[in-house]
Amino acid sequence: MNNPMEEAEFEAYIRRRSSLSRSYQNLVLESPPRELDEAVMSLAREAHTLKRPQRREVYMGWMAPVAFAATVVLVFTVALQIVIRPHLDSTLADSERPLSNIVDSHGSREQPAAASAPAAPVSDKASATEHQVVASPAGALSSEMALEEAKAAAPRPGIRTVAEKSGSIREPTAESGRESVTTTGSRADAIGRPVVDVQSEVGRTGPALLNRTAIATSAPTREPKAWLARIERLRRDGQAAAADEQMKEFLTTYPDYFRTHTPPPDTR
Amino acid sequence: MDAGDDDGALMLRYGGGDLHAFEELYERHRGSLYRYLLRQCRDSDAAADLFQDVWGRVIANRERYEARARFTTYLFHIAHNCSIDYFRRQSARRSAQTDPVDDRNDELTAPGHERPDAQLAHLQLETAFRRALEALPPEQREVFLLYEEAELNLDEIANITGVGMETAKSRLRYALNKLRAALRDDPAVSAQADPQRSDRGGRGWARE
Repeated sequence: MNNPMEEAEFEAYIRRRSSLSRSYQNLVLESPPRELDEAVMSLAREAHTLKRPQRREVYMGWMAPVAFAATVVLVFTVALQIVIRPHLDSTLADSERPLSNIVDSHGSREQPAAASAPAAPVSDKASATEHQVVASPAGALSSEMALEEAKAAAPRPGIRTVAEKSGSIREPTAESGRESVTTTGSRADAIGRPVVDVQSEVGRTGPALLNRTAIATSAPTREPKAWLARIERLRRDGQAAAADEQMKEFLTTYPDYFRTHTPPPDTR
Repeated sequence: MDAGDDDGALMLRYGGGDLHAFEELYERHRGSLYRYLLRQCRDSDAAADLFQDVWGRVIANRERYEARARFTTYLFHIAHNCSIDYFRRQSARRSAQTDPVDDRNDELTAPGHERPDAQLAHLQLETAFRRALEALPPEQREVFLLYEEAELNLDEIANITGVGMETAKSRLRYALNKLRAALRDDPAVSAQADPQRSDRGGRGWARE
């Protein structure tokens, strides 16, 4: 606890009315040496003359965030290439595997039968027609029909469809002669059209056939309206023979279709 | 416009490129800043380095200066930080220091027109004051110097030193009491006390 006298002295000092303060102000006379003054002033002059242009400051203001963003993008890209890309590649490979599995699981057993079967011309024809499928969607169905005919003419008893093996596909109809046509299970179900017997053909034509087959499977469906539209398109393009064949095939597939639907003008 | 506002305006002018504004600003504060640093670090070479460092920072930050507080507060805030850095660097070597008061006795100057006995008395008083000041704990000495040299109020001192105002006030109170006690006990100072006050007890110079 401060005594009253000290308190009064302190109050006087705070009001700058203390003799101690005055004494200190009178006594203290030091000032910086002249050389120090010169040094500071030259520093100020130097900074004044070397003043950076404002434009550069604005540029520098942009630099840090841009550099940061570029670094982040670079790191992300590198990480993508190193970590995620291989994973994506393996995922893609996995997605392509089912087709390869068909070949792997059946090729070893069925390849001899395919090789010994007297159906080489058929496979050549199939290959040729599949090329047409790639080149022209309009010729897809006729090529399939040709393929089916060829296979029907040279049946290979050792071949069963994948779907048959798995039991997940409908039985082929006798009138369409599809016993020799192999489907690829769920895909055949989905698009409702036969697929070339991959496992027998791959032995002769190699992986290139797989690609063609994949393209062929992506050909137009046999959904009635779309099929009729294609037939109509063939007629418009002047391919009357092909159109007739298609219509024949259509009627074979959907014999009762025109009982419930009005036939197109060209087919009446 | 008071001096504080005037200083801020000068600094803003200097930030805008007016070198004369800096010269004026420097002239106003060079003495007080130098003495503050000299008393704080008790080494003229170190004080000169710190002095240059402080002004260097003022110059470097001239374009970012905002007149939110008095320029004096801004200047001594930088000085406080510089001296803190200095003390940190010196803490390992502190034991090797010599007595700075004795070293600087020859630097003391007195007005040339005074009589030799007055010069002697002035020298004695100054020496006694220095001793008393250097005997203070660093925190108390800094508060006293900021109050006397920078003429800051307690609120500003508290802001600069990073303590509460009551702490700053308490430190200043302790500093004053110790200075008075030291000067009262110094015979050389007692002899120079104001004659009228000496008549009242010989030690009255230190008290109102």
